[in-house]
Amino acid sequence: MSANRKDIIAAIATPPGIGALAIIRISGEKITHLFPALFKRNKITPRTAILSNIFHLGTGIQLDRGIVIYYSSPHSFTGEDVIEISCHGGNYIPKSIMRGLLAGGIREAEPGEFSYRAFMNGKLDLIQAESIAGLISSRSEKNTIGNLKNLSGKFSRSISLIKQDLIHLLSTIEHELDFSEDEISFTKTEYIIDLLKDVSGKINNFLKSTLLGESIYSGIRAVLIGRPNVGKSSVYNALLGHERAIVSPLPGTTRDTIETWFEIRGVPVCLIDTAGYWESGDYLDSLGVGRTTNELNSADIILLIDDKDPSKQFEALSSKLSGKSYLLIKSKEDINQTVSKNPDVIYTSAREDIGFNNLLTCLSTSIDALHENSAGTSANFVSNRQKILLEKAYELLEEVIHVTQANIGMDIVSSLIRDITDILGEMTGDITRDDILDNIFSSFCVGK
Amino acid sequence: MSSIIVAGGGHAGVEAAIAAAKLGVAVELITISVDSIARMSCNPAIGGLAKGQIVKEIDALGGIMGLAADVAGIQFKMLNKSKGRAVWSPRAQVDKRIYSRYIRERVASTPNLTVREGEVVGFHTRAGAISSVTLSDGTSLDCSALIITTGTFQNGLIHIGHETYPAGRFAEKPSRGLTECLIEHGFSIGRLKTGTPPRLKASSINWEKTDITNGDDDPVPFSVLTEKPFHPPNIPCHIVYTGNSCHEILSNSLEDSALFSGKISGVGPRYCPSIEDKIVRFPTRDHHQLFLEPEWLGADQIYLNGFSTSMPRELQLVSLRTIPGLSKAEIIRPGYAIEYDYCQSTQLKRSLETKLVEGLFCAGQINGTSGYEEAAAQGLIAGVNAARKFQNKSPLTLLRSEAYIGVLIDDLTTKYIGEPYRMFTSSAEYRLSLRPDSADLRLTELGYKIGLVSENQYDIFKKRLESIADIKHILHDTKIKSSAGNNMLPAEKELLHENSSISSLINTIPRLSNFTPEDLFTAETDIKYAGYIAREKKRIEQINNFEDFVIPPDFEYSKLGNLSSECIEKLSRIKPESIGQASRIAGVKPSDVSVLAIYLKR
Ligand SMILES: Cc1cc2nc3c(=O)[nH]c(=O)nc-3n(C[C@H](O)[C@H](O)[C@H](O)COP(=O)(O)OP(=O)(O)OC[C@H]3O[C@@H](n4cnc5c(N)ncnc54)[C@H](O)[C@@H]3O)c2cc1C
Ligand SMILES: Nc1nc2c(ncn2[C@@H]2O[C@H](COP(=O)(O)OP(=O)(O)OP(=O)(O)O)[C@@H](O)[C@H]2O)c(=O)[nH]1
Ligand SMILES: [Mg+2]
Repeated sequence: MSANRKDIIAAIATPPGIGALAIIRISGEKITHLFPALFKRNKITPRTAILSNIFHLGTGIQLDRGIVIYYSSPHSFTGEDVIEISCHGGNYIPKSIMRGLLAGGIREAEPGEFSYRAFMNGKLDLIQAESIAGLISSRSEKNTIGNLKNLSGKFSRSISLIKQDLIHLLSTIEHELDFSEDEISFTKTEYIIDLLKDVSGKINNFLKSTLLGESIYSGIRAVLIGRPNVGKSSVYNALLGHERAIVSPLPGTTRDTIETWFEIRGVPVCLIDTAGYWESGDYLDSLGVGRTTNELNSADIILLIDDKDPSKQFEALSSKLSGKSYLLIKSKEDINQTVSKNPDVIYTSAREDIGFNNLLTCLSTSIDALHENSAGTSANFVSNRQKILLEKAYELLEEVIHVTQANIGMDIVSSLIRDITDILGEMTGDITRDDILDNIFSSFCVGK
Repeated sequence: MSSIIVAGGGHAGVEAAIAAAKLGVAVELITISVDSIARMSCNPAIGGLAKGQIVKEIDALGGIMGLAADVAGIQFKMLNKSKGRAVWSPRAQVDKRIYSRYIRERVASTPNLTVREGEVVGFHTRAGAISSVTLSDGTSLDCSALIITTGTFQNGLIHIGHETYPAGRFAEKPSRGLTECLIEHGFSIGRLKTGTPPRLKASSINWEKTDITNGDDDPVPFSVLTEKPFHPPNIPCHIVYTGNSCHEILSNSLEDSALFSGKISGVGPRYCPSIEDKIVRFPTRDHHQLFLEPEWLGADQIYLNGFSTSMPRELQLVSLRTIPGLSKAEIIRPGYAIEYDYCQSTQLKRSLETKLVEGLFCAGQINGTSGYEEAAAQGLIAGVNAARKFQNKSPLTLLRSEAYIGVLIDDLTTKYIGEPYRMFTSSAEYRLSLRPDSADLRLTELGYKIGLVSENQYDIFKKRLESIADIKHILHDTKIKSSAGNNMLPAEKELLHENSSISSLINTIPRLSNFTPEDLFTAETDIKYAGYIAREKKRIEQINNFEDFVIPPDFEYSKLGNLSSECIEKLSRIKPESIGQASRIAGVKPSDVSVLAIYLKR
């Protein structure tokens, strides 16, 4: 990226083709000299929306009429002078305005260049920049809310607070290491341990509340299980609306798990078909090995299917399923009709396409419930990188608590705490590592 | 003509002169009085927290301080033993007379090194490089490098209560001229102060009322060259405590203290405060501990460690006499404060050559540090680099992750020193890698390559490396019964237990008794610390990218409009040599560092 150029850049900031309106963003150190040619105006009051004609910088021809907002440096997204033009959408008008700008010597921005300038100008910290990257690629609306939350810096601030606590503790420890035994009286180990435990608790809470952020980033995992030949793959195909899994009258058709992504009301869902477990005394054992078990463990929602009585199967499996969110599905209702229906079971027939609307609704409700349970309103949405760092910090905290308790050496305690503060600093961008920078900005798209 | 002139025969000067001469360059050491070469201005001790580590590093690189301390030591003690092996710190009480005599002899017997009594009052440059120095008697001497190591002497001013007079140190006259010459060449000069306690007459002390503190029974020498078994004297020191009546006298007379009457413009060290400072800053403490340390073997002169002061003589005496054991104390020499010029250390490269004048190096207290060890370490590096410059070789620089000396010099060259800089273990963020017992393992190879470490010292080092490797092999290959259960496990695994030690394994593995306690100790520590050290190494690798990332010396920071003006100002003034260094300058934010890194990369 042309980090060092200070020229004026412009780009269409809205996705191509869609929408009645498009936004064109222009940023540069000084851009007020564009006003006369671009808008036939000498001055525009900053941060005020005005209705204006928009002209071609080369030919002077009028291209459109739209809302223009001017943000003066440094009070803008990039920290430079910024103009945002809301013009008519579609394919033609935004592009012709862009051509008009390029004709005036303005350069088309590279992907992420606006955010990059914002970062360089200290307008964004690393987490915020990362959130923008997440915002752009986020597949769903809920995800967007999470990213917006990060963008406001709330998460950075909480992490910074935790880091402050640790740095305070560290300076106490260091202070004591800098004096010989007889010069000062020492902080009690219990005090240090209490503080570490407190911090570790906070990090753990973060980890818990970030599960949602993570599941939204990587999608909800819904796993289909059931005995062989009960019609799992058929339900799978019916839900997806196309033939994805092979269906056959032979039990044991599905040998490996199959994953397919689809969306339910804006939430990305990964639907997973599995091999059936055998109905024998040892089918719990057959669950104990192989991929199905792994899938079960990482599942957010389990769809338990049976062509006779799913509730009965559920009882048999309850130990494996405890604590998981699940749906009970009765299959093949066209041939094995249930007489007395159980309100907790969803009755379907893949052959006759019965019950699948109901199944989708139930799935959607479960997803919502999942979100509310796991996070409430205080959820933090973190990227995978951030989550890995949080986990590392938590692990190290457990270790440093042990080292302190076992009285192994304050030099090691201090070294571990430094490590943890470094990790937290890496999360908030207080510690600079160029590989991270490169990664974040390379995932941007044009106009951000 | 000598190629290198060293101005000042203090702790920095002697290391610089000997190192440069050893590297084969003709050196002249010019100092005001030959008798006072390597004189210890203040306390009769070498080493201590973090400073002990520095002494071991100096020794590993081929310097002389460690040997001198071993020869002159009269009590050895490992400090901080309760707090983890990386912060253990060796310290020795030394006989000041033996110490400086030993070094004078070494200076006299070093080939290529001549000594001249005289005072350097100025220098001259040709085309931006040092060309000659001038002495107070008018002599002019040509040279291609000058190392200034004049300590507390430049425009020195002693304060004792209301009394003030020019001096470089007690009973020694100050030196003048160099400061003015530095200013003429564009350097910025500041003012600092430090203090020293009174010296008492031993026969006037009631020793029965004092507590005794002894040295270690198993003394460990600083130098690997010191012969073993090592049986230095173990002379006890004594402890007394100040009390409320002492505090009252002092706090009622603060306006008489040179420190508090506002007479001293220099800033003093926060960590080595005067007694009046301690009383003001810790009003709730009803006593302070004082050590009575002999200045030399059989001395009638006792150094009162902890009672540094600039009170008038009478008040020093009156307040001292309130202390149990000192009721009849007589003062041989009063405590005093000294104010002196220093040359701001951010004007130095990491080689300790100044950025402004080629061939001009500064080392020791002149750079704003305090302490013999800090001075000696800088002297060694400056001496080596002056010689290497003369020989057209690249400078020797140490990273923060390699040595306390690296931390010291990096701090000096990136931070504004507002108070006398003293080394602390907390300044070293890679402390686990900088253990005192591993100093020789870290640095001897380097010292040998440079040419400072003798064949003999290098052999000792290689033997030690081998022994440590052998011990580790034995511990790896031998299975023993676990203390926790009944299973068999490799001895090295057993060592990881918090409560197990290598000494307890000697019975089970008799072969271990063939090794020295030092080698066993290091092997044991390496094993016990391995996991933590590995993690620290990762951290080091991450930053070393930035350490290797060179910023051109003529880089124009103002080109980068994205940097704040404060940051541009700081960077332009300090001119860091690498991105790593830039990142440690106060006022340079992480985002500035990324801006800089990315700009320079593309
Ligand atoms: C009063 C006092 C209190 C101190 N208190 C402490 C303390 O509490 N803790 C601590 O760690 N350190 C203390 N020190 C500091 C310690 O003594 C010094 O840090 C250390 O000695 C500095 O070493 P140096 O080589 O830089 O200079 P010095 O040891 O001061 O040696 C300078 C040498 O240069 C010579 N010289 C000076 N000017 C010239 C010239 N123009 N030409 C030729 N020769 C010259 C002098 O004669 C002297 O031999 C104190 C020093 C003093 C004087
Ligand atoms: N009548 C009827 N037959 C169905 C229905 N769903 C599936 N089947 C039949 O049941 C048999 C097994 O269906 P699959 O979907 O392959 O079952 P499965 O559970 O995935 O089987 P395995 O992968 O072998 O464990 C096939 O012959 C399907 O045609 C249904 O709703 N009605
Ligand atoms: Mg199947």
